[in-house]
Amino acid sequence: MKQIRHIFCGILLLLSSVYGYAQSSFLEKAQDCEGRHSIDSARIFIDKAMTDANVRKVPEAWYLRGYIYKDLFKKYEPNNLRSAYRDTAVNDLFISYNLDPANKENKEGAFGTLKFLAATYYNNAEMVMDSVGFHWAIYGYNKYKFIMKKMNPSENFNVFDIRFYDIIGNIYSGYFFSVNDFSKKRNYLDSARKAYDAVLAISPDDYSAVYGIGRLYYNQAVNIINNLPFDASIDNVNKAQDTCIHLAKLSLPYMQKAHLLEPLKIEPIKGLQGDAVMLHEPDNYKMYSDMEKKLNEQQAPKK
Amino acid sequence: MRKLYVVFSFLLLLSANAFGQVEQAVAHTKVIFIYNFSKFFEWPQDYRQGDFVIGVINASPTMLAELNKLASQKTSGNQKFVIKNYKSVEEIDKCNILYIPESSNNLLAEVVKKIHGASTLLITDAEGDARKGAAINFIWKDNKQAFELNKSNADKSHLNMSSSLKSLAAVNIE
Repeated sequence: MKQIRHIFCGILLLLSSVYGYAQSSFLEKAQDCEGRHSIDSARIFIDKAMTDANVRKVPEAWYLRGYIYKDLFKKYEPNNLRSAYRDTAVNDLFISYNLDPANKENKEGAFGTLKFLAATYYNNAEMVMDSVGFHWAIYGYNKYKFIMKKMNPSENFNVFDIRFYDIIGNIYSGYFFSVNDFSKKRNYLDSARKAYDAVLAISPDDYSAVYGIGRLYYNQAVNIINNLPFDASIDNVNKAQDTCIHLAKLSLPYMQKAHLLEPLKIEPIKGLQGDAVMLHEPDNYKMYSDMEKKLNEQQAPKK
Repeated sequence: MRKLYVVFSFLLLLSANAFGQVEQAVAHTKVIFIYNFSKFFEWPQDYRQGDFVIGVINASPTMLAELNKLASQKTSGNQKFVIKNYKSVEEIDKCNILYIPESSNNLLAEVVKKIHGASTLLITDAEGDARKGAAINFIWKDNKQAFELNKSNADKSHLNMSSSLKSLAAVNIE
């Protein structure tokens, strides 16, 4: 707040000298209210002030409004991913910066607040990760990235992206495994695949994404068979088996790659065994079963 | 980010048991076939009374679970399905269907002898078994579970077979 006072003295001087005191009175009141933590009053005055075309040309005025809206967000909607207060604050702070990019002090103030707001998007995204609103997590994360990138276009998010989309892929996979409704399953599978593909686009050898895709198709194949009713006709069983083979073939290269990436992990080996069963490859099944046995023996705690 | 890892770990646990289900899928497919077969054959009068017995020799726990699930959900006309898991050939008694899993295939000749003259639909699961006494033998065709049919073996058991079953068989042995 010290910084905002400092910046703001400059605005008042500027506005008083150029446009006269009347135009700056709303701004002064807004700043005064903000200083006294009367955020709602500050909002009324700053919104009035910003209706003046001359005030709208002043970066510090936008900065003040962004700051006030940031406080409104903190007071009223700190957990709301779609908070209009925060969106306004972000927008205003960028306008403030863009009006005078050479102004170091203004930039520091605006960017400091923007970094805070970006972090709140990230935190809000985390909060909805474990609920059905996980698509909002993507929204929040993208907002976080948008702000950070705008401040520093060269900032590299690859590490964050990989971590984030791996988790999103696993969340969608989790929903895929837990629902019974077939069309919902299909949607979750597609969404998980998209998330894993986003990871692989950055890091083609990411084990979690590679294995995640293999596991999705494998499970879809198994589910199709296990959900067939007992009175399914032989024709329908045959059709289901065709689909199952198709899915096992989609799973196989990912399971193979996951095994190559992490040869000591049991899960891809089990997946490869399952794929071999579905593709009726008894030799491969035996090979992977033996491999699993050997690995289990090696990894078993010694007595 | 810590919270994300908690979620991540939970979801991995959620899906960890997924690989056990392939055995269930194989057993489930076979049981659907077996249930279908029960509808394509007609048993003599004395086999159409009381329970409809499906016997298995040394069934795996997964196969047994699937057969019991079938018994709890379906009937054969008015007959209740009863599943019997025989541990030896001596234990075999009157049953409508007898399934010999591949792991017990070495008992085939003994079983054929034991059920000779009975109206038992013998279903096997190993290459060549349809020529060794089984009416139906599970095989793999084009990577899919399929079956071969030996009608004359079914005839020997006095079972009336629906002609449409022939068209569903991957191989018909005359």
